[in-house]
Amino acid sequence: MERSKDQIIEDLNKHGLTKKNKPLITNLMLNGPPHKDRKLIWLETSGARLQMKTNPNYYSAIVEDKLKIKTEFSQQIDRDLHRTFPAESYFVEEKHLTSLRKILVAYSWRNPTVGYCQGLNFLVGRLLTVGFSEEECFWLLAQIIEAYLPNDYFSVMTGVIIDQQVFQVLLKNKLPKMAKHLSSIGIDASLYTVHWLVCMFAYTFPKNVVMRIWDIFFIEGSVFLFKIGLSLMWIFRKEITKITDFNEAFRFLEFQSQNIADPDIILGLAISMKSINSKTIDKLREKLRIQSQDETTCNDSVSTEDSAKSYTEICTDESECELKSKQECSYFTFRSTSGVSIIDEYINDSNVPKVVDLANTIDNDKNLVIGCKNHACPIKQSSSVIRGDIEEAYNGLRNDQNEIS
Amino acid sequence: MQKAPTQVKVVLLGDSGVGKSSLVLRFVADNFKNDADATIGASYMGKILQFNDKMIKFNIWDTAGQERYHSLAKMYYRDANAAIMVYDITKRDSFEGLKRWHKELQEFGPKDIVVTIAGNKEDLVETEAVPQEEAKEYSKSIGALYRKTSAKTNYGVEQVFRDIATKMCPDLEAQAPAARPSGTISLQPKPTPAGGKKKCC
Repeated sequence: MERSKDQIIEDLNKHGLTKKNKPLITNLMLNGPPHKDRKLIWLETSGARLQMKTNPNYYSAIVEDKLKIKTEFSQQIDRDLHRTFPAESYFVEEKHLTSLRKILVAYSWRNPTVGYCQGLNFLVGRLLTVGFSEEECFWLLAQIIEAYLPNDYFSVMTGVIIDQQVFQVLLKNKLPKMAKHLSSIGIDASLYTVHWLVCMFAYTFPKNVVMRIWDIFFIEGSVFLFKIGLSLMWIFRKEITKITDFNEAFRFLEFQSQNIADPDIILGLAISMKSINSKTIDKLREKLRIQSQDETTCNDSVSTEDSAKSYTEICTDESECELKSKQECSYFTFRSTSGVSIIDEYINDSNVPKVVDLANTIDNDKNLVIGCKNHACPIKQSSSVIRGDIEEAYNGLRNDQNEIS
Repeated sequence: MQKAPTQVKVVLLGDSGVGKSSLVLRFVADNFKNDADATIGASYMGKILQFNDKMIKFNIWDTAGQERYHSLAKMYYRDANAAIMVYDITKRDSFEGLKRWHKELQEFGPKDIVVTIAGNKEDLVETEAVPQEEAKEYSKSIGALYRKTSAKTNYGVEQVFRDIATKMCPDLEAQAPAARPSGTISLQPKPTPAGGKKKCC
């Protein structure tokens, strides 16, 4: 038994997450992996390890170059350091707060569109307490923001608003009685789901529960956050339907969530929701986004596409494509020597210059350029779902039939 | 039969780190923490204050301060009776930030909302960065109440909430404020005429 577990992990170590080992890994994760394996599995399934391999010294270089520069983001980070899990002794130690600061400041330079968003402190804080190194935390954070969640989640937070609406639709579908009750007392998902989504439950549940949720999140993707939310509501269904006061219902949700101590129940429930998948979520997101664009007049937001330089790459064979689809829409950094034409060091090592628009780059003096790489090559176009079933999602996007319309 | 307290919904707005959550914690639990979790989204706390023959229950909604959270804050000030806009008296930026918050309120908040400005961190008055006169002037210009507070030393905190109640129900003004309840409230059941949700008298 132990041996086969080792084999699974070794296979993951060698080949990354594949179709074949995915169910095995998921199964392993369901039972709560041993601590040492958890770290390896998260790094591997998230693509963080690949990023580290592809970008050696990247983190240390940003830290060295940028850590001391005062920006609006670094100031907000400083305000939040002591407000990150202050009740945990881990975060009383200055050296841990220093690590937290370095990771968050470094990320704000990597991705100026996001910079720093309150809530990321809790994400990184939780990663640190799992025992990852600073560099590992940095790349896990980068993958969460850039590969797992919609790209306007932490920047202008439109993605969060859309996902709140997605949750409201799911709740109506899966727990109609409760949804009806909540709306009768004036409670909409937008009130209670902010920190579920922004902090991926790190702000909601005790540490041991969060780790178990993230075990599956890194394999299944953001769809799993919705499943956890629905499971939580299911657990509370009897109590909540008895509460008739708006304020008390909200308070009940907030306080009782902190008392979820046994991860097995909520995880078991979430895993059993087979009818919701990444495809469902993507379709709902797309639909609600179009609706809200029609309704809203808020136009002071800047989309990532507008503000970061981006281009689409073309792969030459399928295996290359497979690899790159894992890093879809990664922000990347490279150095320009001549102003406009730059050497793309990230995608390939062939030193083929690419012409890019430098209008929206930062730090032109030092020729440090940050952009957004969209993977949309014709060989195997991937959707915004990275972790879920990439191929399934791709086919699904072409399939107009969907269970939730 | 005991009359249910009048419900007043209060929302706290203001830049990050000015002490919104601390003010609420002080008011509701008479407690102060140097470091508390940054607020993500919003949190809710309730507290009943006694005004001689009347009880008012404050339903207090505390929101996240970072500017990009503004778009999410709208949900919380729907149907609010009052807003406490908080700034840090030692940080000029946080005072300037009030203008943005007020604009948001005007745009998305209820029309008859009672607005009050709290200049928090009064305990750090020697490093004050905004002259009190200027803050008062601004409050007056937008028709808001003004009070200096310190969540740390419990200076003026409960008074902010009493001010709100008095503004909403001027007949409370004549009544001497009850001694500040220290954690417990004596419930004095007295039948009073039912009040509407918006107006409490």
